[in-house]
Amino acid sequence: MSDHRVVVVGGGAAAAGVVSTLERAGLDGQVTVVSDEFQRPYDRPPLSKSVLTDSGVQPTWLLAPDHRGAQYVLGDPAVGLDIHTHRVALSSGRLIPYEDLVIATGVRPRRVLNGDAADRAHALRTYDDALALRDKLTAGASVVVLGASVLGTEVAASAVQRGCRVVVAAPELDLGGRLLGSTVAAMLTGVHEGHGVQRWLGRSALGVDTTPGSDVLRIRFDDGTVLDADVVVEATGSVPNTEWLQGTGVTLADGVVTDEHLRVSSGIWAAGDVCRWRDDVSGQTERRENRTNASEQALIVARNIEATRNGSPMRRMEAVPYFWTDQYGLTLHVLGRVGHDDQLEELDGDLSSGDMAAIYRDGSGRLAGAVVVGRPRVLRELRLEMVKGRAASSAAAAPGA
Amino acid sequence: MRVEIDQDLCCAAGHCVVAAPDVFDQRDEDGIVVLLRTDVPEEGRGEVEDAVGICPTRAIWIVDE
Repeated sequence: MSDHRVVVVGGGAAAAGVVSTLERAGLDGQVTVVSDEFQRPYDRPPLSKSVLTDSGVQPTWLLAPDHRGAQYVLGDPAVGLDIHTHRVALSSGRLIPYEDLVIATGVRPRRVLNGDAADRAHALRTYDDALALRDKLTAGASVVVLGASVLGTEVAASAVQRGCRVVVAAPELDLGGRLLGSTVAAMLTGVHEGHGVQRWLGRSALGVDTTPGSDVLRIRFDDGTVLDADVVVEATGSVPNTEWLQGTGVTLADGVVTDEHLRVSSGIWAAGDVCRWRDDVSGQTERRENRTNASEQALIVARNIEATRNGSPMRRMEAVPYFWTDQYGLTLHVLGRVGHDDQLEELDGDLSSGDMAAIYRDGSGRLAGAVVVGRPRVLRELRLEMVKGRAASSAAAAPGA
Repeated sequence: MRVEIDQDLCCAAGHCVVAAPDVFDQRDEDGIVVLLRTDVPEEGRGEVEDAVGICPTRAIWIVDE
């Protein structure tokens, strides 16, 4: 084995994907995973679903428990980086040398609440966060979920399943409104209403305070209203974990900035929620926070580490956006960009019946995105159409084309 | 090489079908993965490895004999 050292900072799905892809490719060298968490990489999507709804759900490990393809340095977050001497500094004072570095530190929940009970509000990112929240989701408890995006709506659905009385409070006017466009979001809102979820929309939470002589928490909103709850969940967005990279020479702009090959600079790469890459077709930078993206980017980074070593061409990041969400037994597959209702070309079926396709096309008829529920064949055809569309625009944008 | 899948793990995202359309398909009724072939010639390895790598639920793996 050569002494080529790959260091992956971060312990989530992107890290696991880099490790397993390098391993399958037969990397001649060694891989070290550095994480602030004490567990090896596990899957996060179940944290807002089965881990909340069912007791005793263990973490879904992303690498076999007896996996020996990497060294793990756990519970010891990276605090600094020297790109000249190629070393990562850990909280413990340890220095880890690398030839290739993969930045996969992900994001953490954005906390928005002030007030004397702010530390009693829950957020959800880790398995331990999920266990702490599940303990509070007892039948009859009143739960206020702040945030109406994927995480907030999934937590709401899980709390309903636990028998809680649930309110979703958010600046949007419909659940999922920022992600799904108003037509589909209105349908999703209807599904939640059908399960008894109450809405407290069109306002932002400012703080949460204790109430005298009781365990009830009181949430204050920017329109002067208040809402009482036994349990408060902040699902109010996230913040990229990049503080440890400040002043190191790595370009930061709401994430770690990379080129279309997910390369920061020679020997430094980024993948997953933290990665903001420059798309060479649109010229724009983009950052995606979802599970699929973590796997797709991990694959590209691992392949590109190999490619630079053996001189073969690198892969570009050109995966079409895709995520799924599970709520009340419905799985919504969201492909491409669906936020623009004026592009909604076709709406067939109904979300609540688990059978729907909402298809969005831009002014030139090009597929912009789709929300598909329960129609795998349609999803597959649309996905292939999007992949082909992307390939065509890549070819058109390529030098010499 | 041989390809194996676990339909209980599959979440019907369909990434594998895009990555390796000659090897994977989805059931019409629920989108769960099905194999079009279990033995894949060596030249198909790259596509299948991509499918293994991007499957969100690790429902696909390769068995080398």
